[in-house]
Amino acid sequence: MMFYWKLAWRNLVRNRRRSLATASAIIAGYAGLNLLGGYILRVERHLRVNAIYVNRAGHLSIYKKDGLDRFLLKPKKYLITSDELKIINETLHDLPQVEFSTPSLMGVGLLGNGDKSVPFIATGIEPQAEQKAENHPELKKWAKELVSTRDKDDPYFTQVNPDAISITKDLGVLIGRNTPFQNLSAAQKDLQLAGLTYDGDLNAVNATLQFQHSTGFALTEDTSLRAPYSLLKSLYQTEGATSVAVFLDSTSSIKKTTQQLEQVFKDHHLNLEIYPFNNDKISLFYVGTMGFLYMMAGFFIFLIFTAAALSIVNSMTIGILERGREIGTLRAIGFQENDVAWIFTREGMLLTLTSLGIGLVLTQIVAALVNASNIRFRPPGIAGDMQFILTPDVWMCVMIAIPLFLISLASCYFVSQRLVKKPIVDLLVN
Amino acid sequence: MSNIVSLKNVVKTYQLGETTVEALRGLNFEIKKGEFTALIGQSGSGKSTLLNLVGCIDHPNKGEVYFENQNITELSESKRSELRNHKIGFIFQSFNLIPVLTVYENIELPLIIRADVSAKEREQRVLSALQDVGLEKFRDYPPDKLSGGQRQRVAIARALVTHPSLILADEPTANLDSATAHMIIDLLTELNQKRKTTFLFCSHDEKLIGRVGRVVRIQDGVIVS
Repeated sequence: MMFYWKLAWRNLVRNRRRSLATASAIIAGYAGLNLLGGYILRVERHLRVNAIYVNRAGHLSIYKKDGLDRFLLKPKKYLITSDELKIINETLHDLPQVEFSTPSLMGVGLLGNGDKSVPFIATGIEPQAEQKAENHPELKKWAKELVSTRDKDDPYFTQVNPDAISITKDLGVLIGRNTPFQNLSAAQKDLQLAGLTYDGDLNAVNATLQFQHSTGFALTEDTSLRAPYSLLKSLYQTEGATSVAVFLDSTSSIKKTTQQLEQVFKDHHLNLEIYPFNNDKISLFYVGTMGFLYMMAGFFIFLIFTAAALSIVNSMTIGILERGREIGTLRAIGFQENDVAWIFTREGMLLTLTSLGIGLVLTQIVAALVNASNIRFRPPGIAGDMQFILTPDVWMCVMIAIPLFLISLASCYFVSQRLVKKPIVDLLVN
Repeated sequence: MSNIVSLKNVVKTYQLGETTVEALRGLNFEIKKGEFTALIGQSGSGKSTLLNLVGCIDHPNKGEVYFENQNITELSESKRSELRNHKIGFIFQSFNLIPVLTVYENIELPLIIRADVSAKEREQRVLSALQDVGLEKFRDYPPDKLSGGQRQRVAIARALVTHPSLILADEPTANLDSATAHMIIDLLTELNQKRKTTFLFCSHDEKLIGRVGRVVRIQDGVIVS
């Protein structure tokens, strides 16, 4: 067996110019696909952690049936009650794949500073969950620009300051408060939240402007307000929640968890529905952007794959055709058709594997150089700028390598198979 | 002595564009075991075609070709490969050595696919063949570092290594100078006598006729003497 590999390797070295040309096509095509994949992966992860952790939607969002669409119109009707919350919390507590969860209350109102008021859209979750979401390793890994300025020892999270709120920089400008909010005087930090309770009465609560955050999206950057769940419960005079955000250990647990929860809801006759984070009603931006990116990537992948595959097939075909006499000799001295075809296929395998290895190293070098260059850009619809980062994942590279390898293998095998079936006398006079 | 090869009413035609060329016209021919036969004829007389049919690397249009009393025209492609590997050795005009293999590896090549020959026996056979052709010192040389005569000796060793019943040589001296050509023919004759291997070679070099046991003349696709 070693003899065949030795023969294959020596033939590659002997025809080094052609081998180099074929290898270059494979290396360039493979590295290009890896880098494109690395960029898409980076964007996908960025948008994913944005949807799950920054926007506090969690991997799963539990709503009252139709509550996602109609809650703000009829909050009382579509509110998840405290009894329902209790069952949900108990169920989630027993599921090992659930990292944490929190009830979430959503509402609209006016943020006032005594002189003027501006509208806000508020989201309130439990401070402990807020802390876990803010400090989640996935968020720090993929979207560190979106991690707010507060640190883990901040009183907001320890509930020492239950009326602390966080607003976006643009909302701060509208209300006459410039960042950093920590530097404002106590009087400047005092704000009021006003809104209609779910019974329809006007209500207001005091709040302390403590922190700044970013939603990650330009569209919501001048209205977003975050507050502790308890503060919004006081404002809207309710014990219920708009939704429950469930944070899982992995996106691969989404399907299983959904099935488990649906069964519990059915058993308890709860009229609830579950949405994964990648539902367009939960994260329209994620779904829309990724749909566009996948379509574009599919087109580019098709082009690069086709170019690389044609180059491999062309180079292998010429290389094999030129060696008709060698094939004829091998056949004449008793090699079976398949034996000869596999000699050439081995050459293709060796060349492709070597090229893929070099392509992988090249991918890592280019990615490291790009990442070290700190190239920044502002994607459409995203608040602020972000670094152009390429994160070619090893598994993704393997998944790209497999079809390239198979194309190379198939082209070698079929071209040589076609040739070995020619009459030996014709091959010998090649 | 029994026949190792016999051809009965063999017809072989080639299609050259619109024209059909009859290379062999109902040819009958036999070779006895241990014979050293030269097939003589001008270019286009049909000697290479006859050699290809005997060597199992071409098919006749009509007639039968027997190798050790077995009709080889009826064999599958796989069986024909097996027959070539076990029973027939080839020596080509252009040597047809594998350029990336050393002398030793080129000679070893036909035995690589043989499951019935152990690695140790393979080595012994290759060394013996190297000795027979006097190339022991060149065993690790690549073919392109050898002279034409040396390359042809490697090809002879490769043909011998499987211990075939028949060795076919198509114009083995055509690419060599006359002194080397005589040396090669002498070597083949010596091996024929030493190993009792049957040799059939074709040539249009009349000077070699006197050095072989049997001369068969072919003209326009038929044996004339």
